[in-house]
Amino acid sequence: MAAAAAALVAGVACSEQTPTSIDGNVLPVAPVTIEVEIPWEGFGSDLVVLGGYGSPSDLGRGYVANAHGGSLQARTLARFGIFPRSASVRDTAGTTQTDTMISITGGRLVAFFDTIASTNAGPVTLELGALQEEWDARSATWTSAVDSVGEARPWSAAGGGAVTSWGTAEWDPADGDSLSFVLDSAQVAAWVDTADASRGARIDLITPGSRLELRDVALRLEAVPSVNPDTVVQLSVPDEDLTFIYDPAPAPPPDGVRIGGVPGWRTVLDVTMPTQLNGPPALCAAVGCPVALEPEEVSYAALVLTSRATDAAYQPSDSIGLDVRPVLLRSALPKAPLGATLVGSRGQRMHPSLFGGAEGTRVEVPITAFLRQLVAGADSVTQEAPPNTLALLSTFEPFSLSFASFYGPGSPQAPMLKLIVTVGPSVELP
Amino acid sequence: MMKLVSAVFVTLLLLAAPAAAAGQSLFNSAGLGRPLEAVDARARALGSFGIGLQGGAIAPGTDPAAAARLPFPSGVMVGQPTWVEASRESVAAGHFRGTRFPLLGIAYPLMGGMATVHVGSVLDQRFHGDRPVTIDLGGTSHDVIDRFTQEGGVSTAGLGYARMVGDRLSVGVTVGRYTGSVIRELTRDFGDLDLDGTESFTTSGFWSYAGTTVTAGATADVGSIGRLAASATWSSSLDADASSETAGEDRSYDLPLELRVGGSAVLAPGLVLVASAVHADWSTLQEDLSGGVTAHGTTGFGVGVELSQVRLLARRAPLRLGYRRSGLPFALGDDSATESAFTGGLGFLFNEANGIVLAGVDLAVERGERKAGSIVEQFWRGTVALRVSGL
Repeated sequence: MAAAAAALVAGVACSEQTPTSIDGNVLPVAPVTIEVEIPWEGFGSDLVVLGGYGSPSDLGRGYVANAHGGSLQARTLARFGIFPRSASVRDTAGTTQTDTMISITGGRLVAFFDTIASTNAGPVTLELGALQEEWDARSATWTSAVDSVGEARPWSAAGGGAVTSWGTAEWDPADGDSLSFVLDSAQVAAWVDTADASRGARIDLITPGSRLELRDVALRLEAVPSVNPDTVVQLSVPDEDLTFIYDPAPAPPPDGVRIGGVPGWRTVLDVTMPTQLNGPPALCAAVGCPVALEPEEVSYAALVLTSRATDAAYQPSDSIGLDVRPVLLRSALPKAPLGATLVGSRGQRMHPSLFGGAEGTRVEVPITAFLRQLVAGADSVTQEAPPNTLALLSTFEPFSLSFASFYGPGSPQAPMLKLIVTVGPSVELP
Repeated sequence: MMKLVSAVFVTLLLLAAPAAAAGQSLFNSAGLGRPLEAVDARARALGSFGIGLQGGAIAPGTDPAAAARLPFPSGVMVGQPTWVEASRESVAAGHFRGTRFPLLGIAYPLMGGMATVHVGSVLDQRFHGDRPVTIDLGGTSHDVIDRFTQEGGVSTAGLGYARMVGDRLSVGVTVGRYTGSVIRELTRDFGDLDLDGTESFTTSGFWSYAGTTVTAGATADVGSIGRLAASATWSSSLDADASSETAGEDRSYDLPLELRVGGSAVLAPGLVLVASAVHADWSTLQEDLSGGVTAHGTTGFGVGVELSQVRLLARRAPLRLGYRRSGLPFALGDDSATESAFTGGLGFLFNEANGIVLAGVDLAVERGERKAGSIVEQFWRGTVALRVSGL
């Protein structure tokens, strides 16, 4: 009985439901929450735009463009790996066996497009050509076939050098998201030697005024097996390199903020948190000014950027993910280590129209945790000051050929610091 | 059986802590909270305030002289679950439940008397509350919520001594220290803003309680059938000291003198009538309080009967019934608050020798109501007390 009683009491104790007061008057005095916007001169300094992060081959995609935005030319370069030397096929008796005596009779080069990111609304014509000059996928540019440490070799002609045309084809986005170029056996054979550094495909856009994004380029071979000559089998060749070259390369912005592009652009700026606030009037009326902020009183902090139309050639055609991270050692720029993201792994998604027709839109980039650290100041144990430099970059680097632009310091739409501050009297006993 | 009861008692003594008393009433949010009475289940079942009962008892905070009538070393542990339904203007305003352990006590013979050690609950302060707030951000109104949580309470830890003075009179005194703490935390929750990167605003304070309390009392047998008892509890100021990280100020409260009287009479063999009353002028705290809280003087009384010869499962199982009514010192609003309850219960005496209870458990059930203006709480309160002697 005693044990049961004890168990009853202990059991009830585990299912506590705290009383919820129905009288708001017993709660402490309500704090005041106000919004403060601090202009660039009040918090920001040393804004610089840095480029050169990553290369087109890091993107794993291709672009083709012809006078897009009036000037952009882009071509996709692809190279394929070792051809398959056997195939599993059924012989005339219906038995599946591995045939190592296959004969390659031709093939197809298939380009897969990102229909959303591509700017064309109707059919466009593309041309496939075979590269003739040795090139390096990691360093190739519009003018250079190779541009690596210790070796720099320009194309014989800008844009990929001499090319043997293998035909044209038309892609209509209404028909699907892929386009095939038919290859004969001789054309396929030109790419079989993997020791040949000049082998490769170049895809050009013939129709002017568009920019197309290629998600992938694949080489499919057609082969006749020796064990069943009446059958044609299709074999895939592994990708080796996929990159693109383009012209003109965008010049660094004389002012403003740039994020994205290939190679990637970053914008770096220093943030100085005001030690005291002297407004707005609502804040002063509530708690008196000046107000010395404590970290926990910063309920929200955001860098407010105003979008700006990007050069038409590089205007985004799909959403761009914006990331913001603290720069841990500014003196090491442009290769300074970065801290953890302040906006999550998906970043802040921005609609492409912000950098075109809807320019002038305010974009808030939350930096609350960063600013709270800044307000808290140096660590009491290590005496180490928190970083006060931020890097604005794309969520993946490189992210896309296009980039995002914002107005910079000196402009009427210069970046601002938006704070939502909550302050109130200390909690007291009744 | 004796070993079993002792083992359970000691185990629960180690597991339970009166300082962790849980909130069980809306009135926890008023003023310094809701007073808790460190009495056992027998007193609860009789509607008593724990003074003037027949036999010995460990009641250091209400009847310190009663320990002198214990024949052997003894211990008591009290657990108290409660279920509450609250309403305001006849509209349901929530339900809650919880358990507290209002009394743990041990008595041991010393220098011809009985020394006691106890810990007991004094004030329950646990509650939380939400407050919808509209804020203006950039000219646009937004709804946010202030969430307030208060955890903690006031307890006592004390030493006492009681002894017989002659055959009919016992006297006792208990000296204790107020202990306990309270954490008050206010959080503004911006969850409804739908603004990524928003962090809640939180401000809090932690206070530790300290103070001294002395309870003195006497119990006298009147004739062969009656017993009368009286006690008084004096308290120093209750000091609430803010921690070094707390921005809030230290506070001090002058707790009132509490007076109690009680008695019991054997009306017939196996039939005992008990009655008790208590008074404390809590209104003297008014000048120590802020925030519009009002304090009121409180008076309470309780009556009950005990049928001590009832048997259950071949063992003596005293049956108890009672009624009690008392004021609460702090109320929500200007109206004073009262608590009233019909009480009942049983005692199961596991081991009894020559009329002396060596081991037993007392159960009490109360159905009551707390009321202040339009705020009404209907509650069920159970009390379980384990008693052992001859440890």
